[in-house]
Amino acid sequence: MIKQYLFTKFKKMSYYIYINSQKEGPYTLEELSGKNINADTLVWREGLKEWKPAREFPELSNFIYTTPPDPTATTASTPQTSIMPKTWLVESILVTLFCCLPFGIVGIIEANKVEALFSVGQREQALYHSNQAKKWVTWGFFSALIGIGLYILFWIVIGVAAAMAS
Amino acid sequence: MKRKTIILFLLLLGVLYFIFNPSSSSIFPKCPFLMLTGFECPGCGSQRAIHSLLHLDIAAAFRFNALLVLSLPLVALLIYAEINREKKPNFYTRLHNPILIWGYFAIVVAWWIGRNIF
Repeated sequence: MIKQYLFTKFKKMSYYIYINSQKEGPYTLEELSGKNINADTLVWREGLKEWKPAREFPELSNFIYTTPPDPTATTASTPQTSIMPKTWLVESILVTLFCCLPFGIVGIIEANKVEALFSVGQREQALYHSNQAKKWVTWGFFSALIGIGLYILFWIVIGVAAAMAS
Repeated sequence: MKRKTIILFLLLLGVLYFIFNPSSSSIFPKCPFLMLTGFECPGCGSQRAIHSLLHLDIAAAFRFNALLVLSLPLVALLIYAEINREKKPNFYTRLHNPILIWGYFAIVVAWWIGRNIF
């Protein structure tokens, strides 16, 4: 029922797949079912920001496990060609320089972990640390914003008090 | 859309920091870390440094926060890589190497400790 719904929803979209170090496509969902894709095959669909493994597409779950994976394709060969998750390094540096708080420095350490894990092909772990880095940057940014907000409020209160006193 | 908002916001901030001097004007927030601990953080002096830079006084900017001035070329490079992360994934990967990230981290920590000692 749900799969049927997904199938009609994505029927007209074009998909690209990344197989044997080559981009193939565009394919419709129907054409894709005849291709030799497995859970780890990188897939891109219209409107997506980046390539994702086929297992992350619910509409593909019907046929990714029906074809045997290519035994010669090892996981070690994929990381060099894929895109590194966002490290948040530049945002961490900016938070360090402008927000006066140690959160940015934690962000830099997380950026390091993203790089280290990505370079050994641990994409999932790298993505996790990418999210961690994002969290610290966001924390740093918003606590600085709150600080500035409180600061402005403080001046408004003083201003009002001074006006009332005079 | 989001990018335009950010650029507009930055332009506005630029005008604010060009007109007002954070050294003499009290409208700018003080560093909470400095107020709480009495020690300077790695970012202390950034507002004054930005004001000086906008007035093309690089020497003064350097005195207020040398780390900020030295970081700007790196920040520009990293932003360029960030915008083109999907178009040029190899450039992004090459730029984000352990030597650069750990090196920058070491410089920040050394700067943080050093500026409070000397």
